[in-house]
Amino acid sequence: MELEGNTKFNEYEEKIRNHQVNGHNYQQDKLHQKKESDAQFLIAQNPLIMRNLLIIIDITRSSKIGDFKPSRLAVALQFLPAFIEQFLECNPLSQIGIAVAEEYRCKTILDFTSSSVNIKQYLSTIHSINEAGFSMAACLQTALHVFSTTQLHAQSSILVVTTSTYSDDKLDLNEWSEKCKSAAIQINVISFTGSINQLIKITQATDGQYLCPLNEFQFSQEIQKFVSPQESKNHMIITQLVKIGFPQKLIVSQPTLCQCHLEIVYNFYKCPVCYSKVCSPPLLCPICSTWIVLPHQILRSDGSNTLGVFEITNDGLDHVCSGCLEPTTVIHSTCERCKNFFCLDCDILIHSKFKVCPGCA
Amino acid sequence: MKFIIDDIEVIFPYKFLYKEQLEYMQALKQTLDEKGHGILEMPTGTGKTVSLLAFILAYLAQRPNTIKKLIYCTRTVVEMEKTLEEVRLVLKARKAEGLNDNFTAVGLSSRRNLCINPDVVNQKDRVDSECRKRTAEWVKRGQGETCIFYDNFEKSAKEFINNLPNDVYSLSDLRKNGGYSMQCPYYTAREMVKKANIVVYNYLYLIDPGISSLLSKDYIKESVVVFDEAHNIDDVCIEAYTVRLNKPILAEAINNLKIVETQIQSETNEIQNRLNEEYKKLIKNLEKKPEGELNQLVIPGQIRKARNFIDFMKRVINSLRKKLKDNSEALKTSHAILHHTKSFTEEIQKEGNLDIDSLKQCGERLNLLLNTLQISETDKFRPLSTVAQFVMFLVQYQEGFKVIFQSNNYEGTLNEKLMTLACFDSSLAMKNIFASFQSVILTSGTMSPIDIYPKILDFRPVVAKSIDIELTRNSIQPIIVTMSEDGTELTSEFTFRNNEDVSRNYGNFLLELSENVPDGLIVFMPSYSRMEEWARQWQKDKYLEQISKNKVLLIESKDVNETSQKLQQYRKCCDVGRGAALFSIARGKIAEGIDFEGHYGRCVAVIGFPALNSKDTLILERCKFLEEKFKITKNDFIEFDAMRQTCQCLGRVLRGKQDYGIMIMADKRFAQKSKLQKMPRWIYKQLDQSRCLNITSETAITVVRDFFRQMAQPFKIADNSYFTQDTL
Repeated sequence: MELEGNTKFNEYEEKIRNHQVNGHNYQQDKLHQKKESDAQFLIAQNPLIMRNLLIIIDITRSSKIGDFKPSRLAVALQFLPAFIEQFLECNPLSQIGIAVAEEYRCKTILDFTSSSVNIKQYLSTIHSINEAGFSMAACLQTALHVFSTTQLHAQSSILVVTTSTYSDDKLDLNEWSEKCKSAAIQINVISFTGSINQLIKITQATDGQYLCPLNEFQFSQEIQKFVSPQESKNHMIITQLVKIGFPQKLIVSQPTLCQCHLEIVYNFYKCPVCYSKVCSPPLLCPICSTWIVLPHQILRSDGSNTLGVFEITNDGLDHVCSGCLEPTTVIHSTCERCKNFFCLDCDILIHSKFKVCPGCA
Repeated sequence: MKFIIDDIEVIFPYKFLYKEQLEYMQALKQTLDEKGHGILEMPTGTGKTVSLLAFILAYLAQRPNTIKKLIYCTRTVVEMEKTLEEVRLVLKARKAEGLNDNFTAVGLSSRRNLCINPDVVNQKDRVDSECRKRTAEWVKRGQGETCIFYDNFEKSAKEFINNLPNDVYSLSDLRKNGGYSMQCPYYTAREMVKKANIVVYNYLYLIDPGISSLLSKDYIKESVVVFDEAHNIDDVCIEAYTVRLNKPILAEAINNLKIVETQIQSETNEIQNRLNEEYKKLIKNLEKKPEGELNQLVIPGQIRKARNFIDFMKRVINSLRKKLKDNSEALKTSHAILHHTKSFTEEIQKEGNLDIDSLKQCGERLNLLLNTLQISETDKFRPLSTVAQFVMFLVQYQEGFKVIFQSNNYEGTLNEKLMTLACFDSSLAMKNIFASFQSVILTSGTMSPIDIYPKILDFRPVVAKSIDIELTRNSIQPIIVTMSEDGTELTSEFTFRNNEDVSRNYGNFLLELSENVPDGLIVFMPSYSRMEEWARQWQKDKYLEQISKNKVLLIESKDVNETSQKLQQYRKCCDVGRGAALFSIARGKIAEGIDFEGHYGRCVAVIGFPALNSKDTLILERCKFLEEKFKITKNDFIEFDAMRQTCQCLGRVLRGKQDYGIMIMADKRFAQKSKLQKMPRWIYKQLDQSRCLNITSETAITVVRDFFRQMAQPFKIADNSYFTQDTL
């Protein structure tokens, strides 16, 4: 949370600075930003609204190297929670799993879940080990195993955070990357060390990205690129009917064991089919395999029906922004459905975060 | 693409033309226009060969009176094939532009690479003599073991060659053609060389005195000769004129003589007749020639008769043998013994009662005799011809040669005493070439300092230019490491040889490197003995074990086959993402001619200063000679040689503009000013003086990490560093 505050503060500071120096430039920048966020928004309107992301973290010896302060692993663990929170917020029907790459093998430490609290808890238990031996093939093997239990209509992708300069495989890497490709699993890599030719090839083959941040700040920026779903060419679109149930929320005074993570909870949801108790929708009911979601999650992820790209109007008149209720002067945009005016800041915020037009709602 | 330089219209086979390529062509044009010789340095992997070919071919087509032929010399067969493919590309582009040049390009190589006779080609080392056995003049056609391909060639060579369309004939093309038409590809190629406009062959065809004499008849003065990768040309020249003799060779030579003798003495009429004929011919030659003019074919009276010649050779060998024996005694107490050629010749003359004229001609005479006797197994008689060559050079050249006796450390048998007629004057071999051709161009990636080559090769270039590379990003990063983390100096100096700290620090540095360099890492060390020493130490301290966790560890060996196998493994390891480290020798096979493009070479580390062994007598003498004749001091020369070797190693890593790599020099001596000045400009320019010069190994690792992250960012070549058809 501290990070988010920081970036907002930075933005604010920048805003003030730009206003003083050159107001016109500021407008241009905002227009540019709007274009970018619109483009992102359009990509995000992919019909694949369910996403499963497996984050694999390399904890072998090289993760201890201190060129990123305090260490490569620590930097990754520092910025991942914020990313995960944002990811779950922007993709309401999505789930995240966590795995660590150890010496020649890869171990899942948390199955797919959408509870960010849970994930953060598990992330804090990760520590570096003293052995070398990161193996990409082992990671892919684990990933295939994990993804075999998920639904076919969800888009599955892997995010590998590697700190090694090699991939020491006991298995055939090409074979396993082929398998991933045919299973339509997108492989993304964030590397702390530079480009490894073979890994770049694998990511390109599966339409993934290979990113290499230069410093800590850039790491936090680059990782945001994975928040919105990326276009995937080789994904076979599988349509199937999904059994969905809207749960009932209960708050009780006596401790209760949830069925999904076997933890003691006080507020939980009840599956409408089998009445089993679960803690964090959306998830697959562990008893009856019903897809338990909350209504607003479906509404938000299906944003394309309610929210379109706002058109820029430059009529020179003064309007009141329906978002922040402040007067806008030069450039503003209108929602096509409710014909309300918005300032560019609100426009960007709506398209990148809320996905719901306040005027229409 | 098409463009015009002054008045020459050049067709370039690619869509982009880099700035430095244009600069290179302009320098070439100046050389050709002035009909002089040139030295051009251009960074590796920037399309040197293709720009050279594109321009010279354009020149050939548009100024047919100025130059008529291009002779392109390469070092290896692989490079030759690559060059011919480039020629093909250029000619194709020219054809696409509607130009009809009627150029023929042909590659010439040894019989071993060209033979297609299944009986001969499988004999590996004996291909040459097996071929001669079947194709020599006296072998009766159609009888016994003759080569059907050569027979066909003899019958219809002229027609066949005239009927061949103008095209590019690489070695494989020649073999394929030969297979279709049942013609010998080797002789076809030799015949075609006379007519072709573009000829590609090995250095030695021009430099080696034995081979070049065969071809020299067909030289055309209006030719351009290009020596590619010419940075080592002085070594090649010297090697071609150096002759080594030892006891077994002399013994073999005596045996050879005995065989010849028995043949002569055999009373068959045929042989006697032939000998007589030969004698008469020699006398006749003598009559024909005007008096006073020296001619090669005038054989002195003393050795005109075959029997006399045999006796003469016997005396030569015996006196050489005696010399070797005398000196072997003395070698027990001293390292090496030197003789001036002049006094040595006199001693030999006295010993065997030999006259100089006969000595000068004995090589010629030997060839004549062997031909007369119809002996085709030249490889068996190599010892004898080596002896003849030895005495010939001894008498012919006085300056720049020395006779050296020393223990043979070349083949590992220490007791074998070696007699070397060593050549120190590299201008000797080049003198002929510079004289007989209009333009000679020496080109390479690393020829700095460029003014030293005209000195040691003794010629005056009209153009000597070092062309810079223009990089969009800093895609090469030279780093000079002089200290380890704890402040001890890193050096491979002789005095620190047994210092365990130094080798441990080097090991530690390599370990760190192996952890931080993705994909391929190549490490060059000064010599095999040094590598073994270090490896032993590192093994003991468990460095090798740890390195092999990060990278697959491969070590170059002296065996060529083994090394090429290891190279294959190396490439495979890089391909699967495991990464590999290759330990090799700065003067070995890998340092020259093998490219590590893209991810195969992300980092080159030269560990230790690869100086020549300045205790070696041959090198000491060479330095002395250079100092006397050209005023190049010993230190200068050794530094120059070491730096060009280093830069050659470093140049392996950058093959093209998209490529990137780190160049590490780890020795305190690299940071000295005199060494820095001898670095090619394109490397020196990239050396960040404040950040990468004279730093500790720890800092270097930080630089390495930053560099690789920087290079992983998406990147596009800047628009202003190349031209397209529109921007020209």
